[in-house]
Amino acid sequence: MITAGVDIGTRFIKVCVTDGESLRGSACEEMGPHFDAIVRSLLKEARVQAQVGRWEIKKIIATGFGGHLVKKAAFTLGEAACTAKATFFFDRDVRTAIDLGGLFITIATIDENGFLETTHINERCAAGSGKFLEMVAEAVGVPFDMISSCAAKSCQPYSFSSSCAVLAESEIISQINTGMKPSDVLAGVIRAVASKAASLIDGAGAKDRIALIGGLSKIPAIKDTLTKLTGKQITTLPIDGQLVAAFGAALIAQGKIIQKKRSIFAKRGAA
Amino acid sequence: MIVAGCDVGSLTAKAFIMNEKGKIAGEIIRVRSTTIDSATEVMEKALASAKLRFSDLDYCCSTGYGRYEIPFAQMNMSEISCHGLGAFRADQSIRTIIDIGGQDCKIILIDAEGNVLDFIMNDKCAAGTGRSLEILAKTIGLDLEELGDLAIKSKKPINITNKCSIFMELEVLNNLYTRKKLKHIACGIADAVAKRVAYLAKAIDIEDNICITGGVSKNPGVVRQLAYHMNSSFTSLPVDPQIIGAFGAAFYAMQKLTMEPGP
Repeated sequence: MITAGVDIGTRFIKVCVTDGESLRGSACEEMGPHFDAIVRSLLKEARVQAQVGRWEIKKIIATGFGGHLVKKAAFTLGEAACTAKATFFFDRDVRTAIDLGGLFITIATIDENGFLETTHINERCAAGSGKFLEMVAEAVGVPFDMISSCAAKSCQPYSFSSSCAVLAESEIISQINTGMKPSDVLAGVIRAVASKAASLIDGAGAKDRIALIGGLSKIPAIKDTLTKLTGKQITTLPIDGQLVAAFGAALIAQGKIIQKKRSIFAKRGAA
Repeated sequence: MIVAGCDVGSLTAKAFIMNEKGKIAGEIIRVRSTTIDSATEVMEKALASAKLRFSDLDYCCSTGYGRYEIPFAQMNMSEISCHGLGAFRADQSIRTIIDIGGQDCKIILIDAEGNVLDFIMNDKCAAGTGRSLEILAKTIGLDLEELGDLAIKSKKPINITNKCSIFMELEVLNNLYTRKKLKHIACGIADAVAKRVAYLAKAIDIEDNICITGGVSKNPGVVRQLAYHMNSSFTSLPVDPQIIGAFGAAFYAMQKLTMEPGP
């Protein structure tokens, strides 16, 4: 059976098509006001990539903060349930999945059978989120995929005086104007992001092994800093980290794997 | 005797020039890349409109974020003192000043002589400041003036529950996607900023009369919602409320000159 998962995140919309065995097709685009049209075109793109016909997709499950906005979806799930599913699918030894996304840092702990145990989310403040990193990278004029290599050049990571993402942005602008190097600023931000995630990991009592997923998992420097800070074993999954939740939703849509409904419907703390 | 006040804030720089009789010129500009550039440019602009030169200034007092770096200022005062004195000199009945600036929000209490009694300040988080208002206005594709004008047309603001500006942005987007009317969203944004300021105000004993200063005081939407949340009304000042800091600084410069006669 062919199923699809749609993950409407705070910054990107992700679509995955699966046959239950592997990822057949995927597509990802930035969130915009006409998300209905975006979802439609992404579904088409993923479907073409998977080489399946329009009517072959039997079920769609939506997830993410905007999951309820998808009209085509059979139902919506919290993303923690979806990430737990997908993480367990790829690596059965992972007990904790950290999703470093656009705005939310979600930590999901998974039991031995692959079911979601607990979730922890940064609820009040966007300090240390992906959006924060994005704002800073934009302010210093470094493209997203260059962040890691640029930060690696730094000898003196900058330490921020304000933790608020909005205030840090203007702090950086004035620092850059007085001659601060972009690499130092970026290294400082990466440290800030990683330490925020590390404090959440401590709060959640995360167990080894930890899988790093979400858009920020594409930045190797984050993984390295996080490993250093927590002293835990951190891996990435053999899939684009950004797609994990959408793939999990598609897997859950397969249906037959659902055993404990209760844990899959576990609600997200925020929203 | 010609004195000047120069207030370099986080988003705008203000200059005010006056003599014994009162105002000569006042200017507001957006900040430039460095504090010195912003201060020099705004002061030059004010001097040009007053048809004066730098050498005509007898004394200059600086205030705001960048007050230590301004080369032509002979003294500096904190923006809290300057807002206190400025608002008091503009209207002697004022006892509480709510200053909503670009990146912070202060509530200042003054006595019957214009001295600062107490103040409370939020500079840790951008919620409840002009910056947050600006970000949220940009999210719905309006500029600040349009947002204020649109906000007062609505009586049913959307309820924004988040406290962080970036999470507020998300909530605004969510409302935009579910096709809520733009005026209700605009009003909700003003309401969200006002709620944060009102929350701050709860921590201090406020006395009448109250005035609002700073850039956000020019936004009718925020002012209306703030009056509603604080359950009080605000006295409007005879001076541009955004320039009050520089106005107060100029008074400090004047005081300094009259107290210490020159050689």
